[in-house]
Amino acid sequence: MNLNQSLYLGERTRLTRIELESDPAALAAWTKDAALLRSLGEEVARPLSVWDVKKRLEKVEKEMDEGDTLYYFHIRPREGNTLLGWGKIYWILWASQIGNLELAIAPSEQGKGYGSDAMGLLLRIAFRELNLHRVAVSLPSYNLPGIALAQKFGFRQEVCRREVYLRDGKHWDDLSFGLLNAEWSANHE
Amino acid sequence: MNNDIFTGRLVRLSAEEPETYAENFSRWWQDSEYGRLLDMAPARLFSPKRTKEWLEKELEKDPPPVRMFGIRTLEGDNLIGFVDLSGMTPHGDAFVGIGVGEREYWGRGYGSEAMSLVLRFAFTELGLHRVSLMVFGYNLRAIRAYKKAGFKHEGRMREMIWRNNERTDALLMGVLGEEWLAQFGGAPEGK
Ligand SMILES: CC(C)(COP(=O)(O)OP(=O)(O)OC[C@H]1O[C@@H](n2cnc3c(N)ncnc32)[C@H](O)[C@@H]1OP(=O)(O)O)[C@@H](O)C(=O)NCCC(=O)NCCS
Repeated sequence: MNLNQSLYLGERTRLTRIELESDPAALAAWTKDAALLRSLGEEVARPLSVWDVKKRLEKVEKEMDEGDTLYYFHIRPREGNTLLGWGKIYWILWASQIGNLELAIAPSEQGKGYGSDAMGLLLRIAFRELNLHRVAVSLPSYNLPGIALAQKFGFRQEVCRREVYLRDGKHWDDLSFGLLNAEWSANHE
Repeated sequence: MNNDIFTGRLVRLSAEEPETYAENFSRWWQDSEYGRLLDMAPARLFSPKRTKEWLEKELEKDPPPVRMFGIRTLEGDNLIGFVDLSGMTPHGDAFVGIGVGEREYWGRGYGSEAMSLVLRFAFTELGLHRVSLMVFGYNLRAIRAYKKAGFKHEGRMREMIWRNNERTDALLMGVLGEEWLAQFGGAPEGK
């Protein structure tokens, strides 16, 4: 068993803890426009203050400290401490060995390969450390880059909930994708 | 305007006191088949105290994030189950959950009528755009009941549930308000 290979170190990114002093300001700055929150799901996009974000991150830390169904990471470049985004494995149900995954990269850092690198790390944790049987992601149908990323990693579309989102005066579907441990493993060693 | 929206031919949607829900939920969960049809989490026996505290906390919020109803028979006024809407989003979606805890009432039309009544509430009073649900692949009775109430198949999450050493899919179903109104004209089947 090769324990030398760090679970948290990719080729371009690192998965790290939350830094409560510096991260809230970075995250709050990403909410100046609606792009990031809209790309993820149903939460109403709005500018968040540093205080808003800090409160949320404190809740996340508390949930991680007190429970065992959330694994949340801040993504940083392999060298350096800038915050690039977050990734989490959440709603873990141990009895069925299933979980959900969410990945978000700052709008200004998108398209540089960070998301793919972090996705690889998150899936390795999900399948090689948490031993999940399957992982799901769900995305609004207008989030084409997110859908492409999920598909690149072998996620298969399983569900289309019709007209779940109402944005810009239009309804959009919610697509949900699943990846089985066996499917992922077929392409990894 | 039709204001008589909570009553069907077999059942009505009722308001119950938190302790009534709590006592009955605890009793229904003693039936492990009921628990394993209803919930993906392992079946377990919660105390009425815990259920009551959880419910009171949810129900005293205004508006309550969980819209919970009892299901009462018109004949005999027996409380036989519950139905609730939760996870309401600002986009007009919510998830529905239903359980007929008194198993002698299974498969006799009570559940699908209660589902129709809660959809009428969702679309003619709450103003939701759609309603979603998840049901386990092995729950054929429920799947049939939901189709009767107007739900359409929206997908299948593979191998979600691990029970009795078998992997089962979870089905997602949904109904749009406009579909439901076109099909049932604002009144559930038969009323
Ligand atoms: C699911 C539930 C709410 C449905 O309510 P219900 O009153 O039993 O359902 P109905 O009688 O209205 O409808 C059931 C339909 O399934 C059919 N049915 C019954 N048993 C069936 C079976 N084993 N396989 C396939 N169909 C079946 C019935 O014939 C009926 O269809 P029909 O009217 O065309 O004949 C109720 O059975 C229940 O609470 N079950 C336990 C908890 C549960 O499963 N909750 C739902 C979790 S998603």
